[in-house]
Amino acid sequence: MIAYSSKQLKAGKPVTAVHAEHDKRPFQSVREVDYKGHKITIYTQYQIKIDGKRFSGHIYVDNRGKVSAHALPNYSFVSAVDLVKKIIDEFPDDFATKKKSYRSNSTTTRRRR
Amino acid sequence: MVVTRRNILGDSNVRDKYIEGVKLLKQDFLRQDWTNTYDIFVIWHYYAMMTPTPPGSDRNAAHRGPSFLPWHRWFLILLEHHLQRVLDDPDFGLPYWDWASDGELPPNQQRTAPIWADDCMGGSGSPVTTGPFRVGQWQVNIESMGFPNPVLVPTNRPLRRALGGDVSNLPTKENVRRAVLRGEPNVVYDVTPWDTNSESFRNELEGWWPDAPGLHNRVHVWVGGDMAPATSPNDPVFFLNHCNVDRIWEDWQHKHGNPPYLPDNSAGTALRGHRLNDRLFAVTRSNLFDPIYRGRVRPADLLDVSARYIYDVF
Repeated sequence: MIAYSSKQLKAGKPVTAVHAEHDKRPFQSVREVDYKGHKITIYTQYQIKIDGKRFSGHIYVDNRGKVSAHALPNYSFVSAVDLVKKIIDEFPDDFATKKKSYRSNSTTTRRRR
Repeated sequence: MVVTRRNILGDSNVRDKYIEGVKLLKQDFLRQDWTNTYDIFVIWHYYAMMTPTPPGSDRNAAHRGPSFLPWHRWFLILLEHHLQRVLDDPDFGLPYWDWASDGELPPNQQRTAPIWADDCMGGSGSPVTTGPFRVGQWQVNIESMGFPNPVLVPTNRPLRRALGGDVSNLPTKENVRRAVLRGEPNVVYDVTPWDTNSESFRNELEGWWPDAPGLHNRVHVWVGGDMAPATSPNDPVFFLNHCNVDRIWEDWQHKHGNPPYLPDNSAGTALRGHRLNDRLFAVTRSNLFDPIYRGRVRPADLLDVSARYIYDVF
């Protein structure tokens, strides 16, 4: 995992954790609650586009109805709209008209001392 | 050897060594084909965050579930080991930031508290322009994208912080006290559904319940910038926050006579990676990176750390 990541990053390429590949179909958040002897299951699926491009990050919903996503792992929001607004605020480079290219970093890997 | 972990604001020698140590780790390479040792922690944290347990779950290998506290305890033990190595100081103990003390200050004073002074962590900004991690003194090499999905990408930029930007105040001492004493004398480490909905000590300390963002999460959100995404170890403040979280867990264990870690291994396989005797999520089993556990460690191995370190005060 370290060698693979180091090699990718040194080459200026992204590292994709298996889960972060985020498959083609929208993610489904599942809530399961037991209430008065009844089992409640709630499936929630968001389909979000920003400037026409699909947001493929997984969105989770908790039992209080708050939504969260991997991109901002310590945050939760009362609305998916607020979540997407925050992602736009926090990752402005990802929404730039001309995308920046990944830059290889000369200090990322180096000879062992 | 048992080391003592101290408040970073109470010991300038420990503070300066921590700053020196993390900078040395940025220039330290355990293997020719590995990134620097500091950035291995960034990669490890990211991978843990992106490993749902089980697949499709909200819970991941190190967050939003029972393993949150033991996994980060292991994370800190290994950082402390590598700091001792590069500093050539086996007595070095990782410092903590007692953020609840700063939470007692008025919000506008929290952003200028001593932790953010030039001789400590430096201040706020995008980029950070003061202190030892300012532009030219600290480089972020890896970051997570936000859109279209959170892949890890190389970068080459200075550190970012936005102190008090998203929430105006840090957790308070009363917030910590409530978490440590809640349910007394029948305190519980964690409970079903073992995630962000659990009404438990772990979930309260992690910061999902009863109000989000609380405690640990609130510190990430309050610092903002590079403390916000899955690559949050990019900011050395990450480790000071988690050392304080670990101290609060240690206090809770001590105060309540070491309540049992839950779930034990009678729990279903959906909780694999979080049960008492399950292996925690490793980035490598190489003893170059982990000469202590060789990547094979269980929550059960991390409940009593008194042979390894103690805290100066609770």
